[in-house]
Amino acid sequence: MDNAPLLLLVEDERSIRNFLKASLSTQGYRFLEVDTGKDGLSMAASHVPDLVLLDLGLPDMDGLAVIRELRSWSQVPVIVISARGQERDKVAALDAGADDYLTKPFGVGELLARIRVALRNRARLPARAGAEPSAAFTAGDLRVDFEARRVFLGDQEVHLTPIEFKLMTAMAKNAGKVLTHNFLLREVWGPGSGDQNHYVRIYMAGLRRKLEKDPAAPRYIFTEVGVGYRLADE
Amino acid sequence: MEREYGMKRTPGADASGLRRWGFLLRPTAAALAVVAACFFVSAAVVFPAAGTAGVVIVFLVGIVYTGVASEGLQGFFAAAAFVVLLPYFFLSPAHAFSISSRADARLFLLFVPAAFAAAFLVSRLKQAVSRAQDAARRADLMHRLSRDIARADGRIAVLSAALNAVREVLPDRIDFYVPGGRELLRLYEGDLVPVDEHHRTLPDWVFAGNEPAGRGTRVMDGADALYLPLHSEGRTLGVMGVRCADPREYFSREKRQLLEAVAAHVASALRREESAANGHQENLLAEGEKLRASLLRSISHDLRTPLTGIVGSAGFLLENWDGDSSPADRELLVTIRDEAAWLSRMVDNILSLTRFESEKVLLRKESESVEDVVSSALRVMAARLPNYRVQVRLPDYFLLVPMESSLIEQVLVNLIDNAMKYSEAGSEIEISAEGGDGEAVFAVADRGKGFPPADRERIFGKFERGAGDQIRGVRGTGLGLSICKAIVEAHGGRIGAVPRDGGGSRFEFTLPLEVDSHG
Repeated sequence: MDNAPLLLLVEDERSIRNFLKASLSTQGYRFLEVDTGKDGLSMAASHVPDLVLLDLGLPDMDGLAVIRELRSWSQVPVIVISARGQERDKVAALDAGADDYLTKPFGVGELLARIRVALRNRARLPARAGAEPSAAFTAGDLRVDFEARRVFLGDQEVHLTPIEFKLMTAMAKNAGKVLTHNFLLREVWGPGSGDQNHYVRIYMAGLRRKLEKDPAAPRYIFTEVGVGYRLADE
Repeated sequence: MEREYGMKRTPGADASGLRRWGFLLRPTAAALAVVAACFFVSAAVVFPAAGTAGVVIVFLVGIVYTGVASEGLQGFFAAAAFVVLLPYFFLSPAHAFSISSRADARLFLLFVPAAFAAAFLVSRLKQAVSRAQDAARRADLMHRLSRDIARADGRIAVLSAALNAVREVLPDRIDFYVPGGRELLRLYEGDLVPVDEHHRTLPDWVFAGNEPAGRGTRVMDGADALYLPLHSEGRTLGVMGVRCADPREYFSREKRQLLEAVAAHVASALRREESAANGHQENLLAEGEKLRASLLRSISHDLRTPLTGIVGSAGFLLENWDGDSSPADRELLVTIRDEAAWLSRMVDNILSLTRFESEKVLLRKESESVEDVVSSALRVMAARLPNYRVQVRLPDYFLLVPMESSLIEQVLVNLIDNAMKYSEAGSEIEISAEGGDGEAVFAVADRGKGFPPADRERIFGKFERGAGDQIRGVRGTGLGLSICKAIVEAHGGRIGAVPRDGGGSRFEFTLPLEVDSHG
């Protein structure tokens, strides 16, 4: 169908490309594939995809450079694929404008979930059936009413401090997507907050205590260690 | 001629005494010559032509000249000489010390104070000039020193530059001593050579005590040189030995101040060189770490890529499993996926091991919340956790710990994996974290097979596995625990294991910490 989202795969390893293609076609996505950063950039310019899957370990260009170049003229959602233990690279990619990341090895479920979230957040997919209007956010029992500034877990209201609410809002508006410590710091505390991202951890712990029954087995707020946090989107 | 320290004083004193008088001898002889010249000129030419007044003028000039040409004191000598010569030879009656004419007597009475006043004024002037010259020389020396030392690269260059600068301006002999391992090294002809035992004593003493010693000080003042410590920013970097050309200068405060200024300059330059050398070392370390990191990254990429393909493809097939197909086939796919996941963890461990093989590892520490890292580790193990009764105990208060989070996550994953490997399905596994005294304490406890107390240390060795493992079908290369040890110790923490009462083991590790309590 012509309406199906077009995905650009920038991946130099054929086995991964095959697996990606197989997974994506089950969802009816269309795709283009290239194996170098340069080709990726020119394809992105000529074919205007709805989402880019970018491997950070490309042979010809640094993944970060690709993102920066892309972001200078496009807001297309970008999901980076990287290896484990490269947290710095992931954070750098996210801060440079990538929307999310996948760590090798990853499974189909994770892949499709990330893609779905990224596409939705850029308002390319029609809203999920039954989704609330953007005045509130819902996932499972959690409900965040942006206008009334109230949060509910099931029937119970959860009382949040103003900063906790700001944090909650920032996460809810980007539900399903990973948010770096620096991003949350800027959103909640403003652009001049520098490097003080331990505030984020402190307040996140408080928020988690209020929302999660079992902080060690979270239902809503997931830690991406070394990178940031992610709010469940359903 | 080198001399031993603390030798008998007498010969030394004698020799320097002679030298001391010798310094006075020459100017005095010169003054005598001038006096004699004035006398003869006056007697032969001036007196017949211009009378007593002429002689007085010549004598006054002689005093001034003597004072200027010598060190100033000789002017008084000339004045005294002329005061005697004037009445005896030039005032009537000649060749006698009496004065007949009143006018002559008045002249004489004027001459005496005038002569000494002139000598006095000249000597004052001479002193002022001498001070100014000294100051100029000092400034020149310090300027050369700064300029040449600033350009010097390396210890030897700094010391050679200092030596040359001093040599151009001062007549004294300077030596520099710096430590070199257990040797004491002296700068000699552009190289650092070890000083032999006999001549090390005083420089060693000064280096250790950071106090001057030798000639002109209260310590070992019979030595043949003065030794000053080269001291900068709280550290002694060497010793400067001084042999003054004029022995009186050992006691001169101005000279001492000058020498100490030189010493301070040299010391600060040596300190700078030392910092640069250390900085260089650190740069090398950082470069090495960068190289290693990039090598690990590319190996990691090469190993993980096929794994991604395997896990992904198997996972995909499982997701889209056709219910009608044989369950045995499905089992095979599960095997492929799980084995690939295990292989992936093994790769992580091996790569970590490579990183920690080197002596110094630079960790990228950030303050992480204990909750975050524990829940993250649990997510990694999520698939297998339901097979056990897992309990998690976290503190009520907020606990921030500086750590490289992905590494500590790896430690927890390895410990949990270990607990699962050695426990029966359905048994208890307890994971806990709490704040202690300046440290955070993490623990993973199980009710599994346990280990003999004697093996407490051994199990953390590389490639160590429990006895009889192969028979019991537990698989592993024995790297997991040694990685945990390497990571924890690199963070400055400790790790250990104890068997539990009632069976099983408790693995515990600490990390040094920053505590932030959150109401």
